Amino acid sequence: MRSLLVHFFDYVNAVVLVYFIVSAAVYTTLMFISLYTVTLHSRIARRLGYGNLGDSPVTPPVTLIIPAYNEEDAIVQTASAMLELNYPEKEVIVVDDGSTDHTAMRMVQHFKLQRVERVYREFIPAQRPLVFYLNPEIPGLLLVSKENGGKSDALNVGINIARSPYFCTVDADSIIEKDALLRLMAPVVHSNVNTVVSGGVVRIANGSTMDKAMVRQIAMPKTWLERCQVVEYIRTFLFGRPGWNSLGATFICSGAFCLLNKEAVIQAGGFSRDTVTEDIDMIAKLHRDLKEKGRKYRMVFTTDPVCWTEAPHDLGTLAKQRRRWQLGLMQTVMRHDKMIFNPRFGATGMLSMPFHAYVEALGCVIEAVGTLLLPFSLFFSSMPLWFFAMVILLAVSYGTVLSMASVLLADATVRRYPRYRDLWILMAYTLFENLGYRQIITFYRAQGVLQYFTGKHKWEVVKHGGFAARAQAAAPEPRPVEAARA
Amino acid sequence: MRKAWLFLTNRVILGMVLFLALMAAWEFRVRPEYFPQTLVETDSR
Repeated sequence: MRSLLVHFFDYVNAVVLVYFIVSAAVYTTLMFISLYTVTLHSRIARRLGYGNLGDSPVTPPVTLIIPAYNEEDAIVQTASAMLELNYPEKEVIVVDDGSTDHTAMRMVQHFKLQRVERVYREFIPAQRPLVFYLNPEIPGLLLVSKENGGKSDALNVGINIARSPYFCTVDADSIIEKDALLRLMAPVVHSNVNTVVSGGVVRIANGSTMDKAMVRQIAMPKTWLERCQVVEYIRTFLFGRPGWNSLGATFICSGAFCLLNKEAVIQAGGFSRDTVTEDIDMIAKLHRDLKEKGRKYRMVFTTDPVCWTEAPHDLGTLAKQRRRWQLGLMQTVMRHDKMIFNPRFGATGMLSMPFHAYVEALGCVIEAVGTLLLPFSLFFSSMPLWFFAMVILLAVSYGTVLSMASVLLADATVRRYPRYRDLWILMAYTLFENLGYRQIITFYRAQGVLQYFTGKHKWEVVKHGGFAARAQAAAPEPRPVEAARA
Repeated sequence: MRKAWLFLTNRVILGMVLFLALMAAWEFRVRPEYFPQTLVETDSR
């Protein structure tokens, strides 16, 4: 019996060790690629600039689509901020996805919108809009009301209405820097290949001061959980995504702030309604559709366009968020599994998809099982204690070095925190992020994978606390006009 | 039935099962000679 246990724990340890070596090797490669490309992009962006795009006649028009479900606290501020973005030709479409609160009413009151008739053509199957609202004095803003059908459905309605060749998906509770849309469009304009996706960096606004949906004073959040997430976001957006992008294998682009080519999205069938992370699924769909049709295309990820978002304040909310992300990733890799190790799909099929399927999606289960069984492995495994200690030390210190390097890279290229003290705080938190935070997140992610296999594919509502409320506090209170929606 | 077959032949599942099976083969078949030594070491600890 004991011999079998020894065998079993040796086996578990070997699996965890191989997983660690493979993931560490990939992350190290991505790190070196990112160090080079992010620095290079930063230099080029500084020299070329993007200011000329603001006046250029060739800068394509963009539609900003804001799906909103029960966003009465933030929607007016977000829509106002979108209208004030530095971009020559843009339209803002707010899609009220059957909110049960006063999302539409607040928009109608604040922007003095009137009910209008619009021709609606369905390029992508979606629920039909019920009412259109427009203020002739603000022609760039359109409010659409529809019955609740989920975020993907709301986005598809927005795409059907959009008149521009490009559209940008924006979360109703996110804040976009004034020049971010221009920066997002710069690689599209400068490219001679059809660029179908352009993504930017999402950073955490917790702790910063907001005013009229603009980040006025950037500051470090106060709690350890938020600070760990700051480090995690910096590492993901500066080391992971630019690395994959350089290999031509972009797989994830945050839906909170992502520019997409309308025609390509329509051809791919629009956003899937049966997934909890429609943004990840969209990228896979685009890769699949365009490769199958033999089209030449490009997806870009740049580190200078910044969108600020509110991160969960407590463990419960964080758990819901991470479970949903993991469940969505599982849905995407399982659905597009034919791309895995398929040379037809280039670097995406041969590198990015397998990595995201086996390391990012399922790897967390191996990591969680390894962590859970660690105390037993110490007793039963044939591996000596010093070996365990060394591997754990190596894993934690390697993760810390990776996070430290990304924080330093962020400071050197896309620095936002004004005080040097913040840099040192972040450097200190790179250790906590790898020792404590990472293990907690691993279990939430493993739960997400479990949800996939047990068939609990529901969207867990993530409530955001202070961010929207702060934005609302800065907004003038609308007068109650009950008849406005009628 | 078809659903179960599609699930089992999914490359994500197949790849993971293959990886775990290969590791098991290595652990239980390739290095059995390591096993007695292992027991001695574990017991002495």
